[in-house]
Amino acid sequence: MDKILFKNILVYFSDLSSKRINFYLDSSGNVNFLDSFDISDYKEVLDGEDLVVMPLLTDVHTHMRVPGQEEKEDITSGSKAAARGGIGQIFTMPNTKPVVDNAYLVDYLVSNIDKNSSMKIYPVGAVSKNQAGEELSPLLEMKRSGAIAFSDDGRPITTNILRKALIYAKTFDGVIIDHPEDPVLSDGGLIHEGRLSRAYGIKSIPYTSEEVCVARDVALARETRSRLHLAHLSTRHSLKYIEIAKEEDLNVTSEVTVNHLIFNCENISIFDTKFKVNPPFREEEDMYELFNALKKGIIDIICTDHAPHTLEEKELDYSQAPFGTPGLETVFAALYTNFVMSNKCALEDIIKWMVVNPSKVFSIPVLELQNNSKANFFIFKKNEEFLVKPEMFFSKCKLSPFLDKKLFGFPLATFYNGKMIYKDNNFLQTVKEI
Amino acid sequence: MISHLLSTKNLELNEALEIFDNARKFLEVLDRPTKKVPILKGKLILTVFFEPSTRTRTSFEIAGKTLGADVVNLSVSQSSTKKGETIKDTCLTLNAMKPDCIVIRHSVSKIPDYITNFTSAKIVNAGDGSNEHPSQALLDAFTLIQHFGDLSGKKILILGDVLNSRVARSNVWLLKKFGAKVSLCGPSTLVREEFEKEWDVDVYWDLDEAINDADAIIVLRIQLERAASAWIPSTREYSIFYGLNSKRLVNNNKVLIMHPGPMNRGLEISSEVADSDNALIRKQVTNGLAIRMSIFYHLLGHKVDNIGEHLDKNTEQRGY
Amino acid sequence: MLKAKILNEQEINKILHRLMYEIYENHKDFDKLLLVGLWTRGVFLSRRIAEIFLNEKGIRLDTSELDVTPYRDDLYTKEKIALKTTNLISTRERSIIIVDDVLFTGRTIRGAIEAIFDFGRPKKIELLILIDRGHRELPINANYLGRFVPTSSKEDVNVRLKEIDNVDEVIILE
Repeated sequence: MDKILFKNILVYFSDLSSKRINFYLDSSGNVNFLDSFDISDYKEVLDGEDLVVMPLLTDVHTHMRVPGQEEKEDITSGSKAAARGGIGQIFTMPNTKPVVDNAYLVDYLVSNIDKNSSMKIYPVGAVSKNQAGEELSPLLEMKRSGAIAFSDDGRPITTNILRKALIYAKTFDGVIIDHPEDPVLSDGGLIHEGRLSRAYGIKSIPYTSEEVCVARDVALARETRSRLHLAHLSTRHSLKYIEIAKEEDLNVTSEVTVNHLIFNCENISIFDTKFKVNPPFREEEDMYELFNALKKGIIDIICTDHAPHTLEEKELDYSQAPFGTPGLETVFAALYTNFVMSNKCALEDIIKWMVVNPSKVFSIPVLELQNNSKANFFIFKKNEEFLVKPEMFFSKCKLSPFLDKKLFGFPLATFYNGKMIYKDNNFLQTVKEI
Repeated sequence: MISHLLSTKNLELNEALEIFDNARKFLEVLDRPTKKVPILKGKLILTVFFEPSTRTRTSFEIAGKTLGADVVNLSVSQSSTKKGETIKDTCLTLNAMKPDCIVIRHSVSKIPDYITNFTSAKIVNAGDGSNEHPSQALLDAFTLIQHFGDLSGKKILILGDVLNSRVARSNVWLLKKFGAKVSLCGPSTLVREEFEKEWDVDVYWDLDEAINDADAIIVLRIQLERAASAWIPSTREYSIFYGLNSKRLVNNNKVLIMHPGPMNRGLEISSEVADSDNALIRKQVTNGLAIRMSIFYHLLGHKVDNIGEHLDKNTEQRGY
Repeated sequence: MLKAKILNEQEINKILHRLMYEIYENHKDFDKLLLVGLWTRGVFLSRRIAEIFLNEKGIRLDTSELDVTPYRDDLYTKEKIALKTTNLISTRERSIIIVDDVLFTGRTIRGAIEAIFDFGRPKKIELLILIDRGHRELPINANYLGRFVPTSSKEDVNVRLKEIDNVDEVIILE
């Protein structure tokens, strides 16, 4: 890689400060801050006026589908998708085939990731064997092999196992992630229970399906005083339980997907399988309240719940198509366009929700621009608009809910550990992607 | 001009009236010694029922045959879906048989809308999940108009399992277009209080109060095999509190009684009521034929852009 | 554009009287006779003939209306055609006279004959026509003809009747 000069670039840091600085990347990908420079020394110069450098984002909820469902996604495609989205660290959920419920599979995943991933991927282990909710998995052993946290994602952890897991996880200060849904109340539901489900007579998922599970989880967190993280909240009614948990200083954290901040059951075509996700898109009020909860610190993290499926599966009819939609590529652009550009929040807030808080909750490093160290950042251009097309996706699933929409803020290049892992075609003409 | 009959929601009032006008003409055909007019000679109608049904299918079949169309019944009965064939493939296969019209019943809401993407035939929804059953609603409204002339201000009570009923939904959307005062009655699990606001109807949980000033009652079938059973404690309890019997009608003996059939006599309706002079249940069946003839004529009986021109959709990938 | 006026009110009336007498001459059992008017103007012509019959001979003929639309052979080449009333009684063993205003290709009459057979097996079917404009495409001819008017295929013959057009006349348009 030739030396690249970044001239007068606005850089955001994880301490939520930002300043315009000059720096260059040397051929081994090290960052060097500059007080003064001679432009003629550099083959490639980036002039900073509209360019912004950001810390690498963390996505604590994705599905890389490895092992067993590589037709939907694999480590190579998934990590490229993350790189395209400005993401440097992701968690991959264990609801695979087979379920990642033992150390051997975590070992396999880690070696696969080491071989094929361009950025950091942390495996999440299953809480119960085969996610059946009957027996506890060997959490400690999986932790030693590299599991970052534990979850039966895709389904809730059964009450008995969750209680045991929370108590056991204290041994090693582990985090249990629960998917809050009462399957009895969901009962095969396809969309949010509300005006539309009633009008079309469609099986539906009521608010309470999530709410009763959140209440249960908070109660167990209170009893065990262990670390519990609640995945992909969708309803405003769940928030009060988490608010109470925070007031009581319980170790409860939570996340919301970017999609649930932007879509609700009224602003999408409800029978388009691109929008078929679980939890379902709720009502407009939920969408607003979830965002407010982020701002108030009730919800800590924004994730994608990147859940890719094959085109064949997503082209099935609405009742048979699987739940889930990809999100790695679009998460930052979607947040930037919908919230930062409309002044609903600042870039610093995005950094808080997708860099700082994930690092705090799961005790992982922050990856950002630092002098005399390997480059870790992504760069985007203000006011540059992109039309979202299937060709933009590195994920094997190209059916995004943002297809054919216009978004600003797509990363132009992403650097991880000194390597450029993503580069837009029209950016840094002379520099080759690694 | 609708190109498919999927729902009564997007059916224009004048279109419904046109269907009724022609249905009146077709009623006459049914009284002829030769019950046949060749209006759809050479047209192919497929009835594709993913859910078992005899009477609706027979009604469509007789309607098509009376108009001279070739009607072929396909018993898909979920068998091909069990073999792993998707509904999309099933429809592409059916489309390759060059039908002019496909009458479809499926256990999942909105499937008829979905398959319009994969066939050039006109689609008639013969019942999709708990969503709609537009031909039933049209024949119900037609029967009511035969009796009342005008439905505006008439209180039409729909009694029973509204939650799981496609007949109820199609009727609510359609009867409101005619200005009828639509009321729903049943236990609160089956007649949700949200319906009142969301559908702009009156909700009753007390049958006597609901019957009081009703002009007609559409009694819904309690589908024992369906979810309804989970929402009511027992059929005995249901029939005591929501079964229609002659005692309930003492104060309103002029009210017309309809039922889409098949009836559970003694459960949602007593035999005495079902066989009374006010019951239009048999008339509904005959009207059903005329309405379905009229629907076919409406969709097929004239020059339409792509009728008969079967586009080769097999290669197209369309969104949903 | 109006090219010529062929018949006026009195002439139409005269013709209808003549045609009535021709029918009177050809038939004996008037109870068995059934006039079938084809929508739209054939219906009004059949009613007029029945009225003349009643006035002149004191005989009340059965009349009925037939909508040929379902029997047309050009249904799918046309935009939507509204259905009209058919109130035919049983045609079994009846002598039928189909009544229409203009005879052109003969296809409408073919459809009418087919329709009539659906109501029973008639003893006999005859055809009464006010204007025969030629250009037949089927072997069909009128038994009772008002007037033969040779036309070119560009021309259009229009029969207007008081019942719906507020005037009785026959005109040629081009």
